[in-house]
Parts: sequence; structure tokens; C-alpha cells
Amino acid sequence: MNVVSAGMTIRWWHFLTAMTAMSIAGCGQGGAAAPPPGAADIWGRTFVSAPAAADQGSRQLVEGTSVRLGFKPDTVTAEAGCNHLSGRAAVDGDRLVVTDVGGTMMACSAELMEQDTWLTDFLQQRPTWQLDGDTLVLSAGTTRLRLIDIRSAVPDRPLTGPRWSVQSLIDGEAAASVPAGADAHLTFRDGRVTGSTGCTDVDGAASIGDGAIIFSRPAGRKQDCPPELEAFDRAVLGLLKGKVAYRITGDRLTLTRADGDGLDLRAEP
Amino acid sequence: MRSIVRSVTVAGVGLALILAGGVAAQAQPSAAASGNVSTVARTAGGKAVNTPAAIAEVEAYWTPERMAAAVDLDLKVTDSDPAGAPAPQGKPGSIAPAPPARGLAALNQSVTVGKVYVSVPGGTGQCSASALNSGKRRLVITAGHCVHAGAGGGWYSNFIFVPGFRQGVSPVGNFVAGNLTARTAWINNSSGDEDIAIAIMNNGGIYGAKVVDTVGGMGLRWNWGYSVAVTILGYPAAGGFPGDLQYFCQGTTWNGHGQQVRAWCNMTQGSSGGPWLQEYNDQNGLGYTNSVVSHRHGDASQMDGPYFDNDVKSLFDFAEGLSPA
Repeated sequence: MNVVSAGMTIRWWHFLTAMTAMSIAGCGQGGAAAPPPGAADIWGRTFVSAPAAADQGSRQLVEGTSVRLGFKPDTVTAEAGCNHLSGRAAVDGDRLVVTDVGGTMMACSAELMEQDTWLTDFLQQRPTWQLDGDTLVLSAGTTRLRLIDIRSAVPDRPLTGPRWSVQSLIDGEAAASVPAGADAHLTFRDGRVTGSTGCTDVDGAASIGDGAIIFSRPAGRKQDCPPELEAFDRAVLGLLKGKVAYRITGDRLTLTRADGDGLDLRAEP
Repeated sequence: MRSIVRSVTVAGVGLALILAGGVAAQAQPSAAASGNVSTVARTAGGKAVNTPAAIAEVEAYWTPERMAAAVDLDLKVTDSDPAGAPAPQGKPGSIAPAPPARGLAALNQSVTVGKVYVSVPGGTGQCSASALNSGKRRLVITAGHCVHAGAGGGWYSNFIFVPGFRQGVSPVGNFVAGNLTARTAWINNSSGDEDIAIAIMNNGGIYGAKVVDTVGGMGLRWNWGYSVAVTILGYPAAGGFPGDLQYFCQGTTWNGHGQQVRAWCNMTQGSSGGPWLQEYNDQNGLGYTNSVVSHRHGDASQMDGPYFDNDVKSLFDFAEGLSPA
């Protein structure tokens, strides 16, 4: 560890990152090190903006959007509804220091572009940060951004109960969206799975064990299936057989068969 | 680039003729002893264009209407010299051209490349994409972040591809995606290394046909190494770029960070998903896709794309397998 101190200033960068920072941004204060222990508990965590709270001074976000900040060692990722922004990040006392911000290159409706620009500027204004448990408050000028650790904001849902809507078809490391027009969903309750592939009604036994579900052949009642949904229908039904591993992260459920095929589902609110 | 050379030449000649029009008598070109000729560009009012105010006057003169109304100045080529061709003066000479030291986006047009519009939560998104050749001829390749919000997010909807889009015109109509595919590394972790997506398109366009049957499809290359010569095409829409014109950058890639390629290119938001093409042929607008526009860092003159290795071939096979016949 080689912390460069200038008064109360503490900065750290990984060596290579520091080299890059110096060559690209002309930012030469870097030493080489990992974050000092206890400096900040934001690292390794992801925060999302709190639902429009009654906070005076909180930024009003475009409807349907939220801010998401991810802190990895010396990097922050930031989203506000359009692009995936990222930059170098460090803590300097009570200030969050973000530099060299870039991002993906999608163009969006004007208010979303403006929101990306606002977030980029806000993060680069050396906002003060205050972490209280799972709540992180960033402030710069008159603007305050209140965020909550995503594990609190989106707690793990139970497997039984929610209506899980199928989001993606997984094949190893590739994923496909649900074809337009298919409303595929599953509900686990009382040892049974019910729902639909979008074409076939699902109703069968589902025995839930430790990290795995054992499906008996679900009784399917097939309805008229448009040709573009048939492959998807077969793929979903094919997953609901035998032993399938499951994992829940927040409102996401992933079902994975031993061969890598799987489904990605989301709990409906 | 042929199209660029042509447009620059036409604009340049038009400018020179119009500006010099009224002042030819007092602005005779000066011929030095070397045989080289120079003149001073002048405004329509006859003033020399050598002050900021005069430059601004020229810029103000070229309103969009004037530019649109500018005539195509095909230069007359004289018939063959009746006296016969002159004898060569000596050995053939050559001085190599020089590319700019940093990549600069300029105009080009491939009808196989187009603009993408999607609905995102809270509004709309615009990207770039290209049709991709395959047996079933329905694939369009773009960036992962143009189809899915990444970690914690979902798929975008209403994905439409407008090949050859130019200044509000959709010359071959639109194609709507029936299904979208991406890497799990993108949808679960927003990984820039795998910011790739392939959309499977319904029949569409002016012929009601498959997209590759309508506009052709790019080839695909993977595992070709981090240093390759590429032409990058896209529709930058911010920072002074209009968003309705296809621009290109050319250069040689290198490994910027992670499993990503980097190139000098100052295209802006809207260029996401645009193809990085090896052996781009501007006669037919085709080449071999070797990456797609993903993101940039603090330096706006460079951009990164995912390195195309077995991952992209795997995604291609997956999408082709899901594609209707």
C-alpha cells in the first residue's frame, strides 16, 4: 500500500490505472494501492435511487427511470436511464472524486440525454458522500441524490408466491428475449407449478429442495400457437422437466438445467 | 472513400465558383515562377476570406437551403487532344497520402448499415446496426446495450431497424425485430467485453422480404486478433453530429482494456452498435463485422468495442438457431 497524502487528502489507484489516468487525463497524483481498510463501505456495492422521496432538494428523475451507481475498486458505474456511464472513482475525505467519465454511445430522448449529462456533471462535482447503513446520500451544490443499497431496495423474493414472468431464454452464455406476443409466466405454490408458456397452460408438481426444483411432467393444455412462438413454447416446456437448479437475486429468478439451458424470470410486483 | 471524395470535390468547386464569381477581374490568380497557382478565396461580396468575420459570412451564406439547392457540377472533360498525348517527362513519381493523426468521423453510406430505434423505460433510444449474413438471412447485429438495459434491467421493446436511413428518408423501409439475443455477460453484468446483440428480424422493407435479401448482409470475423484495420460506420447524434447521416471512421484497432478493441473515432451517442468492418468495400457497402461500437472513456476521440472471439460466433449460432426459416 502506498497512500499518497497531502494534508487530509488520501488517493489511491491501482498502478496500471494510475498510469492510464496520467497518460489520458493528465492526472498525476496517483500512488499504487488498494483502498485503505475502513475508508469507505461503498466499494463492492450497488445503490439505486430511492423512490421519489419527499426530500427537499432531491433530484426529480424522468418518470420510469432511476439512478444506479455501482462501486468497484477505483471505478464507478452509473446509469440514469440511457447510457451506461463509468469513470474512475476515489474517496477524498467526505468527497467522492470521479474523473475520466465515459459511457456507452446510445442516443436517447432529450430528457434522458439531459439526465445522463446531469449525472455525469453531478458525479464530477466532487459530491460529498454520507453512508448510513444502506442509505447513501450524495450532495453537490443544491442537489442531493439519495440512494439505497440494491439488496435493501430490491430484497430477495421468495420462490413461492409471486407470479414470475419469463424474461429470457438462456442457452449457456447466450440469452434471448421472449418473442413479442408471448406472455409466459410461472407461479409456485403448494408443491405445484402453474402458469403458461404463452401457448401451453402449465400445471404440474414442483418439489422445491435446496437450490433445486424437481418438476414432474407438467400437464400441458396446448392452445393455438402462432408459428413464431412454437420454438419458444418447446424451449420453456423443455425446462420444466426433472431437476432444475434455481437461484434468486432480488426480483430475479434463474432456472438452470445441468446442460446450461435455462430461463430468466422476474417477480411481478 | 469514393463518396467522400466526390462530395468534397463538388462542394469545393461550387464554393470556388460562387465565391469567385463577381470578382474575377480584380482577383486574378498569381502565377509564381514554379508554375504553381494560388488565389485568395473571396466571399460573394468580393471580400477576401482571411478574417474570422469573413469566414463567418461564408458559413452563414451556406444555409441548409442553399446547400440543398447547390447544383451538381460535373466538370466537362475535353475530347482527346488532337495533337496526341505528350511524351512522359520521366520516371513515374509517387508521394504517399497521409491519414490524419487522429481518427475523424466523416460521411459515408452503406445501405446494409442503418439506424435502430428502441423503446426504453422513460423514453426512446437510438443506435446503429448492420444486417448480418446467415443461412436464414434475418439477422441484424448491434450492441448489447441497444437491446437490454444490462444488470438489473430488462429487454428493450419496439426494436426497429432502418437500413440506409438518411436525413429522414428510409430508402428501403423498416424491419421490426421478432426476437432479441445477447450474451448473459451483458444482461447479468453489463460487461463491456460482451456488449453484443443480434436481433432476429421479421419480414419487412419495401419488398416485404427478409432483411439480408433486401439490403445484403455483412460478413462476420472472429478470433482475428486485436490489431486489425477497420472501417467503423454509425449514426452519431450528439455533440454536433446530426444523427440522420451515416459517418465512418477508419483506422487500426488495438487492445484498449479487457477483451476489447479500441480505435481512434470521435463518433458520439447514436453510434452504438455500428459495425467495425474489416475489408470494407465502399463500392458495395459490405465488409466483415469484427466488432460493434460499445462505449468510450474520458477521451472522446477514442472508442471501444467488444473483441470478437468465440463468444460472438456462439451468439450468432444461437440467434440463427432461434430464427424462423
